[in-house]
Amino acid sequence: MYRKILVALDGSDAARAAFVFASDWARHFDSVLWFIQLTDESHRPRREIVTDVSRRGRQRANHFSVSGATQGQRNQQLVSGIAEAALTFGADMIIVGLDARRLGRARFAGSVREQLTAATNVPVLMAPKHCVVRIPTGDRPESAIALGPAPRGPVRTDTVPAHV
Amino acid sequence: MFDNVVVGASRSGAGARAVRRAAELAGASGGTVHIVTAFEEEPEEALVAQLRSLASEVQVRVRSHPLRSDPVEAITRVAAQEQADLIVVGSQDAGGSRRLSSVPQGVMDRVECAVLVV
Repeated sequence: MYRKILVALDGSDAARAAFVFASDWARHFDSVLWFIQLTDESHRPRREIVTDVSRRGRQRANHFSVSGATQGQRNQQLVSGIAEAALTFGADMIIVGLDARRLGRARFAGSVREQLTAATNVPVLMAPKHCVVRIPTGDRPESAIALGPAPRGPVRTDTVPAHV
Repeated sequence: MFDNVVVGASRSGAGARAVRRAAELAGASGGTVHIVTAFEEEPEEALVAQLRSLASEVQVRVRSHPLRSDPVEAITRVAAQEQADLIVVGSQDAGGSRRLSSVPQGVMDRVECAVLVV
């Protein structure tokens, strides 16, 4: 039951909540997680997501950027990037932790959620919107952002290739 | 992991899939699955019994919530009342591909907890 999970994150609060949720899920159900970082080159400076996993140490999430001229094009790239990554990994579930604006909770109502559901037959889980997380500080590179606390138990992650 | 899993149930194949998944997840967590069926006039008791039976195949506590209400309103109300950790809803199958109906979209717009679309 949902043993191979793709987790799609950006640098938002929603991503932090999704990371903690996915880690808890993996510990509880002994699932393997595979992370991809989604960046909108049109709006945001590129920041690397570094995940903490107790067994493998710190690991950079695979990076996938969208750069279409319009929001519609960027959404399309976003959706196909997630769907292709799920196929590559053989995921049996996708956990989505993206900024609410990308998910269409405001201006682009429902479009990304709808497109993603249509683009893949894999169940899609929208992570909880809020989560209390501890942000570790100190030994991280300046460009890295921490996504939640180090898990208490073992969490398995698969090898992350250079590109989707 | 999940003490209370709420599932929006219907007669469709997606509805049955959602109930089965919700029951598995709640059962693996030692939690309770709450089956929500919304109706306009009379509760569909046969449907409720069928879904309870489906869920009980995986050894899980089952509570049913037949509500005279709009489906989105019914699901979100039970989720708030039971302090749901997870809501499971089905997507519609249309010509080999899936699409989100207004119910999962409406639920996702209104709740703070995790929502799984199966």
